[in-house]
Amino acid sequence: MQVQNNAPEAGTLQTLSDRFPEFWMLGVSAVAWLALAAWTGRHIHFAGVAANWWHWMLMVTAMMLPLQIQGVRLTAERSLWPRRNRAIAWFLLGYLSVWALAGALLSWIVLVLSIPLRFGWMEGAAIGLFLETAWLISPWKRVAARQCHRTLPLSPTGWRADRDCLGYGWIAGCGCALNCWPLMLVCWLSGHSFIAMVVAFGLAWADRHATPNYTLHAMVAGFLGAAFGVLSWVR
Amino acid sequence: MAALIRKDAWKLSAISTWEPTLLWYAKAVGEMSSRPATDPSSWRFQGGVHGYNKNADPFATTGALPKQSVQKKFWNKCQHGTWFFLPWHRMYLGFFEQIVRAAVVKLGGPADWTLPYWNYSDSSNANARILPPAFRQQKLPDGSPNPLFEIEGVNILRAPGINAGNAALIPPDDVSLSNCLTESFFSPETDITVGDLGFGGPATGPNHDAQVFGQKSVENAPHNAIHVDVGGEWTQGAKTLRGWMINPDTAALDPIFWLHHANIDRLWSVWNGISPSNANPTGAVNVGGRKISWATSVKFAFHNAAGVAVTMKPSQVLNTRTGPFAYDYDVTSSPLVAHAIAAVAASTRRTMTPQPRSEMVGASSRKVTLTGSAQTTTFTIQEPSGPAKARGKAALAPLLGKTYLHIENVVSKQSHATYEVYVNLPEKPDAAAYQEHYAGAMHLFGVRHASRRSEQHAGSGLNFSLDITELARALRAKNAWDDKKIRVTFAPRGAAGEPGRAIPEHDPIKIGRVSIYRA
Repeated sequence: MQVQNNAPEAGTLQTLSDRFPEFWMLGVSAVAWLALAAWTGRHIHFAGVAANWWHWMLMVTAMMLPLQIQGVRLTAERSLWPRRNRAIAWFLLGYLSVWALAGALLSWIVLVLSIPLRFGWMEGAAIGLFLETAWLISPWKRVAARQCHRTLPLSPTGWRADRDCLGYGWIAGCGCALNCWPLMLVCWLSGHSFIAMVVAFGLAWADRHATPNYTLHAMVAGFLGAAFGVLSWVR
Repeated sequence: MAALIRKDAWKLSAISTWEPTLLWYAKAVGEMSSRPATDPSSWRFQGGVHGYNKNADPFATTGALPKQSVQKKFWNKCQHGTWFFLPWHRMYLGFFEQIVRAAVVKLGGPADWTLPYWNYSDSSNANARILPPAFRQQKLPDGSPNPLFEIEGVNILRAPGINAGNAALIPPDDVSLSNCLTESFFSPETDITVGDLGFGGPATGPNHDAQVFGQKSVENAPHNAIHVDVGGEWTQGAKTLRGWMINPDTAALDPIFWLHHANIDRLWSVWNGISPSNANPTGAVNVGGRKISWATSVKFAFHNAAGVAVTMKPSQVLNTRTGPFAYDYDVTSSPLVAHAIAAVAASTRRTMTPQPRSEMVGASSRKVTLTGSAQTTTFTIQEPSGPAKARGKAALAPLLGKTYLHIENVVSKQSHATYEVYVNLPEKPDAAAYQEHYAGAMHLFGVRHASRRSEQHAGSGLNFSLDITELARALRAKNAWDDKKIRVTFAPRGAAGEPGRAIPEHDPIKIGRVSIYRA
């Protein structure tokens, strides 16, 4: 039987949002990238834990949210239609909370250890990339990678639904942090260099989506680390 | 090279229990079992390609294993809960058949040996659901141990009664083809995990961690069902024993595994042949942001009969006759009466039928824990307000759109007990009620692995998507359907396949959520 679609015609944005629930999340991420590009030079020192933390959260919003497309789609798919965007928002809040805590700790450490004063941005990027290389060839990486695919049952309505979406976002954030911690260190050790962020995002995207050939990924990360290292020495 | 023909093991058995194809298979299994596990053409190496865990290895004390780097590249690679399930197993069987054939030739057998298949769904054969006799004999004709029954002195563990030829252990529903062969598309055109998931399964990246099974996927039934039914799980004193077939890490060590999968592979050819619109995927799907082409994006690694490592893509195994393995089956016509009566009209050729988008209209808010007796969960259903709203109010649901029951995050650390799912079952159901309210069954092949966090698995358990559209219509017709509320009952399947009888208490099987979708 031919099914008649009697739904009223929706605007383009509404249609995009309906078909791709991650649509507005990617919009937020794009705005964060623009803000990073506008505010970040090659190496920025920030005064104060709060300023460091805000910039860290901007980086996370730009770089890490696009890696959660699958989690957002699943959250929307498993929520009642009227509350799907609310469900996504709670999911992202849970997700970002993990990074917020990590960022608060790192922001405090960077000032205590005076990291920005000790490294040039390329040296910092090189150290981070070598850490990433070691992580990729370690046996724990494979276990960590699987945690990105965990799901949780979500209550359908009420505060329990919000709680479960928050919880799902939290475990997604933990999985992500477990996998991507060296790449975020690349950004942090390089003093939030925009170039380092783009490189780290590319590696994170490949890690999430490319066929899991960790040896190849490690070689690429190692090569990039060596390149940054050589460039920092030459300069 | 002309295609060789794979034959029905029961038709061969009708000629003789030890018809030459079966006898040579047994001898080759014996020969391959004597090879060290480090040899890619050995029985143990081939078993490890599907899955391996040293705690489950019945030959753990026998010889060295391949190097870690070899295990990482070639072992634990079976694809489940994914549209790569069928092509990966086709490649796996193709290389296995070549290796066995080489062993057959080495032993003096024919160079045109082919792997038989076990057609447990053959309604013209009263014995179809019984293991072919060659697998139930303790000895070969010459009096030596039968490698199809025991391997290197180790008895092949199977569900009690399987080796005795008890057909009741494999209920007819478990081998029914009326779901998978009537499916109209291979995979959804998006990375959805609810609703109709196609004959071949959901679109994913390479996936060893099975998560989602659609009711009409051939992987759900008969594939998963046979693994659970033949393997089995039972207690011996204080111990729980599991047959090799029920565990993905030992399944391929049971010689019947290969005949089972040859039949699954045959069903793929059968499905393709029903209609030109039953085509394999050609396009790409956006999976969580990555475009994946089923045919070309992913390569899988195996060893050929010469022991050389090779890689292969699904695009290379679309046609069994002209592909690298050059084989066909003696029977590839659909056994369904409907397909015999009228050839299925070829609709406009398309590889993946666009699926109407589904939306969730209700879900349970508490977990369901199963320990041996029936459990029921009840929850409300809302009117759709999203993509399914176009189908109209729920009252029109029987006429427009589809209804799905989704069983999510089924986690079990120990038990594989099969539970059947019923909708709006009366308080004291009789046999007729069980039939009329039946929605489907949960075949928990792989559940223990899926429930455990590891390098291979996320630990979220299994998910099942049941199409209850027709059931909802039938229940509405007899005033047993409520548009605002649904009652879902999970009843254990009894020892002889009968529904509803409590079974001995077992370790908990926990269901995270039950939900209902409209599309």
